[in-house]
Amino acid sequence: MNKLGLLVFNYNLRYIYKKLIIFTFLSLALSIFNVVYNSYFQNITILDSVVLSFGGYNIENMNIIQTMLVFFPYIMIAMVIEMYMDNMMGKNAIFTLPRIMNNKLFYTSNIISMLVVIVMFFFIYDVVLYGISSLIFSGTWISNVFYDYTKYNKNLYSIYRILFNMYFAQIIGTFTISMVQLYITRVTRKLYIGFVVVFVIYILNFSLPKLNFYLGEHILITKLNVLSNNYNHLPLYLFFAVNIIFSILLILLTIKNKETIIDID
Amino acid sequence: MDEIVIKVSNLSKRFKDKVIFENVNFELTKGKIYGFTGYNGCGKSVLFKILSGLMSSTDGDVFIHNKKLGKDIDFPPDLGVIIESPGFLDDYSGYYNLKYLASIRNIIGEKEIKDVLKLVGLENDSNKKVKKYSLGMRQRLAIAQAIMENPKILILDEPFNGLDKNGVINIRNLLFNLKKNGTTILIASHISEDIRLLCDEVFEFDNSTLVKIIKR
Repeated sequence: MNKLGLLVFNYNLRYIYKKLIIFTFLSLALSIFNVVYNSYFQNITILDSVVLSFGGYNIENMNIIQTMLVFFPYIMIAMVIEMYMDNMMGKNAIFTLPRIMNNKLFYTSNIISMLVVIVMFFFIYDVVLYGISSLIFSGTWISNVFYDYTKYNKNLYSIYRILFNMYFAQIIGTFTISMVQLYITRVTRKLYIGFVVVFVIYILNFSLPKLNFYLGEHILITKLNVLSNNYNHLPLYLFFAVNIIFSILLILLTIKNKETIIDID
Repeated sequence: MDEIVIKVSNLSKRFKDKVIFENVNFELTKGKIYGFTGYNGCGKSVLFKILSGLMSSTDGDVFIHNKKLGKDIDFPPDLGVIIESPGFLDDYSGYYNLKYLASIRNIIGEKEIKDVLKLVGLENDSNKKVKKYSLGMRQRLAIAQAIMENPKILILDEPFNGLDKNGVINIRNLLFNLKKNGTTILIASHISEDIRLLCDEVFEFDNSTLVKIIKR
């Protein structure tokens, strides 16, 4: 991205950063509640608590509170993206776009800003979740309290592998979902329709846990086989591949759309 | 012969089956003020978005200085624009909002930004956060961002919204000065007095088409 792109990127982030902080704190409050709620269970480890918060548990065995806690951060980020699109690609774009005079650069800078928002949101959320869990629980392995189906390898490398895989799945999955949200909003010229579609995608992943949708699967990491010690990463790699290809397609469709701003009725 | 700045030829816009306007034709020349009137939802803002390069037309062409919009150029160069309610960075001051926007084109500096804030009567509130601005102050700031880089074309959709009597007089004088300096100004307003006092020519939307109703 050239200097002009960086300027626009800088301008975009100035709009969103305070809202992002508010939503991150809301999510953090939820994650604290999540950890405290998990402390009700006996003999669970730090990693149990963290992985549970990412849907690393058979959905059939999750109660409604656990399900809501898994769901909430993704709904928060979808709301942040909705606000971002309405302003920076809608109302505020009327001031910026005629100055930039380059539609591709405008959309590229906005899409990068969205990616940065997602990366930051989950980085803060994940680090704090791990931090709080490590204050309350001990043990950096997966116990058999929730994960009786997993013969998990207890070495340290695997723990970081799990955390990194989860984080990247979260980032790539959420980014793809945001691109779906953006594309639908552009095509329908209405706010909230994209948000509703995203909500439905996540609900479908919860409702049909045995089916592979690829889209939105990061909400239930058990689907991606990240807890396995059999090094069968095919489901994870397939998830990455499908989501990356889908994101690229949606970005191209968005940029090639004749309309420049998101013009809401 | 007057220099033609904007030429619109057989322009139509439809949203699915809904016709906004059809076969609109006009030519706008340098250094004049043009008024666009019509009932709410008649298509004034849509027309302004198309002329600004922010929306595509269904049919027809727009030429800016003989260059076809969407083919030769994506956006009109040297354009200042206000369409609908202005979107600013609410957590930043009026001055910083203008500074960030000015940094994109990078053709004016701190002095020009302060001058334009003075011109629209915001010099004493320039360091106040925009979220604390009244509707009238936001409108003045929007006008400041539109004129600060001395645009050759100025597109203003309801520029007098929220302004008090003195504010309206100030902005009218400002627009007359810009006109003298050769800026072509397009104004949409539902206040007939603004249109009558300011405009050299007026177009009115009538049954999905545009009719020229006054020529001085």
